[in-house]
Amino acid sequence: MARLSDAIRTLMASSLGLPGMQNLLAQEAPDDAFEYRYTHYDEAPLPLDKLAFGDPRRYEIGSHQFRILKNLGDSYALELNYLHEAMSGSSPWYVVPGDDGPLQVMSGATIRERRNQVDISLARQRGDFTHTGALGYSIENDYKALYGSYSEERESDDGLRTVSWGGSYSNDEISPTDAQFYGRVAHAQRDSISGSLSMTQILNRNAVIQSGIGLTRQAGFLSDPYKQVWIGQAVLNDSRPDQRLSFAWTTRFRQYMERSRAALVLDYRFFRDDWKITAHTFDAAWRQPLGENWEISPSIRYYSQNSPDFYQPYYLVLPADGYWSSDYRLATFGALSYRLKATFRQERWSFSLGGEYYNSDESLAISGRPENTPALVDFWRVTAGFEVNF
Amino acid sequence: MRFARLSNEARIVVVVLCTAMTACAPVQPWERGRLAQPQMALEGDALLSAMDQHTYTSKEAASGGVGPSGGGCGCN
Amino acid sequence: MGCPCEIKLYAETGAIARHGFKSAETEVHRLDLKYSHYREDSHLARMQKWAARPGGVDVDGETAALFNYAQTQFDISEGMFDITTRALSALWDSIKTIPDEQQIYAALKKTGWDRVQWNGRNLQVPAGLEFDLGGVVKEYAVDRAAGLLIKAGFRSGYVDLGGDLYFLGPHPDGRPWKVGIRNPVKKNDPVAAVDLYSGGLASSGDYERYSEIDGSRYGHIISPRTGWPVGPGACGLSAVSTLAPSCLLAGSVSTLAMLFPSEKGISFLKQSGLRWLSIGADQAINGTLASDPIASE
Repeated sequence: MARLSDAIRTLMASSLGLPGMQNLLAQEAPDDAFEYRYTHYDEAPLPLDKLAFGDPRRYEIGSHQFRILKNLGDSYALELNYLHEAMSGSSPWYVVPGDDGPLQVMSGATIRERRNQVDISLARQRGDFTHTGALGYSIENDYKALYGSYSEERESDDGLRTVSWGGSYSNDEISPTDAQFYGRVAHAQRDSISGSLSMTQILNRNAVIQSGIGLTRQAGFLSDPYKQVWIGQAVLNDSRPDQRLSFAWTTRFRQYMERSRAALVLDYRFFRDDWKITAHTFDAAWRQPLGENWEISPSIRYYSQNSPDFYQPYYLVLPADGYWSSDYRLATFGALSYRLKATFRQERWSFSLGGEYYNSDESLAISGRPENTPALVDFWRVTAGFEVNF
Repeated sequence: MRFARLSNEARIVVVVLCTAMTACAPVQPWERGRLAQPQMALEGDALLSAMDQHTYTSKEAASGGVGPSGGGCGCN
Repeated sequence: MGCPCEIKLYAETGAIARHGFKSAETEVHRLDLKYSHYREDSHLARMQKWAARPGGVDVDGETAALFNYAQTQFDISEGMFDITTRALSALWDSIKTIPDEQQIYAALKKTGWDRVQWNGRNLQVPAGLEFDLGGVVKEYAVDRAAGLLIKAGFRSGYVDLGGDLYFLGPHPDGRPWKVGIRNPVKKNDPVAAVDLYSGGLASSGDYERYSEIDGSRYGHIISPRTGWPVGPGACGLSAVSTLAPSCLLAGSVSTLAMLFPSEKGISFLKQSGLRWLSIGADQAINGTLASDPIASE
């Protein structure tokens, strides 16, 4: 809002004593809330003509998410999140040359793992400022992570712009299973520091734009302990640099469409790191209200990345710099996903159902030199959740 | 699907089109009705956004959204 | 309310709209009766009598809130905005000649919020001092009616009590309400046409109530200091319209701007952070109310 003079604010405050004035002058205070969501994630099995050996049945994950938001007095808000996931399936191990192209070796055993994650955050609002501190912990049988973050947000005098900045730190510990048996590193650590800065601007009654940048520095054991690389008949452990500096710039735009009451959603993220990976992410959605309570939202996401120098499905000669990886997630590829979400909202609660189909392929990449990457994954996701407000 | 290949130096310039972008006009608090509609939210569903970010970060090389990031996992 | 009143609503069915109208209308009548100047038996009249007795009178919650608001108006305006100006209003209301000094002096003696004893609950006034709540109650009534309609779920329509308005929201298809701000001097000549979506709109000026003596206009807002009407004749603005989160606020701001000399009034409006429009003595138009680029979407 244009900054109201002190005189006006004083009059406004005084008029709130009159019965019913809140109906006109009310500021929205966020309600206390409880949310739950279940998501089922299912990867398509590796096509048999791309399988060298191992179990082609890939990951299946069931996740339960819980969230509680509680307002404490006038200025504080507490948020608690808990995630519980159960995962099973085999994962890509290394790639070998084949007659008609590279073939993927899959891990034999289907791993059954559980992960628990909890985080808590406290936000305080004082005038135009909001300060938020958060702490979190994630644990699974071979992985532990502890992280914390702090951020500040400031609303401009005219209320049309919000600037926020923050930093976070994470320390992860990996203790790969069956380390001795497979010659994996028994125990390793890595940590990550990141900083971010973003700005949200209300353009006019119908549109808002947000743009932010983030810088992250990771150090420590950044290789994947469960992956290996075929190098001229020998199979060696995945080896990546022990430092990574990455930059991301994200812009989000929302436009209200008057005739349909719908919102047009356009997001773009530019990513670049010192491993020379460049990635572009485009997200477009149309959120269409139907009647008073329903909203249906189809959306499309397009992603493209190019591989770092130390990625190759397999090597014939040992790379001089000591870095090598055959992890398909570092390959040059593009991915398209199609999503549909339906939401039902009532006064105090809402329920939503959504589905996604994700397809990745070397030929979908915008730039870089795509190579035959047998393990590029396709997956389905179905999710259902509800939220209750108090 | 085939995408035309761009040169190594090609940069993608994003032009954000916005109707009435020049009209950064004063918006009074009680006029914010539309911006406050759920479909206009920047974050949308908090749990879904978190799950999305977690899923894509596990399967792709890029990471990061808007704002400080949280947890890690041994996602394979 | 003694003026043309209108409530316009959009609803799913005519029955719902009529129901909304009925409850809003009932509320407006309630306030009209309670604070009427023209009825001997109105709540205000009785309160007036008892407040003049020793010990004063304990007022009800709604009236207390109104008086608290009046206190704030008084403080903000450095004593210019005063609801105890009944004697002065009566003096300048539809007269044929300019009152003489003695008459003005006598009326001034019966004026002055600082002579009222108000402690948030108990009201005590010196004999002869009477309240002029007309403007405040009318705008408050608009807000009350609008508040009831908003609570009932109406999001499209407006309440109009004699030119004091509250817009619940634009037409259902998103079109704003086209409002014409009139020129106080040339009645049928709109000074500006504005597109409004929501909020309270109130205007101050010698539009309706004024006296014309020897070719000069004397408005109905009387300065409690000089005893004379404010306006172009007293180096003030001719008319002010303001858009605010409530009609009450809009009215207060418009009236406050009128009570100051032109320059101070305009400066006050500029700093307010609200959208406003002023018409000067020289017919000069100022303000942000009419220049809404959003309207051209």
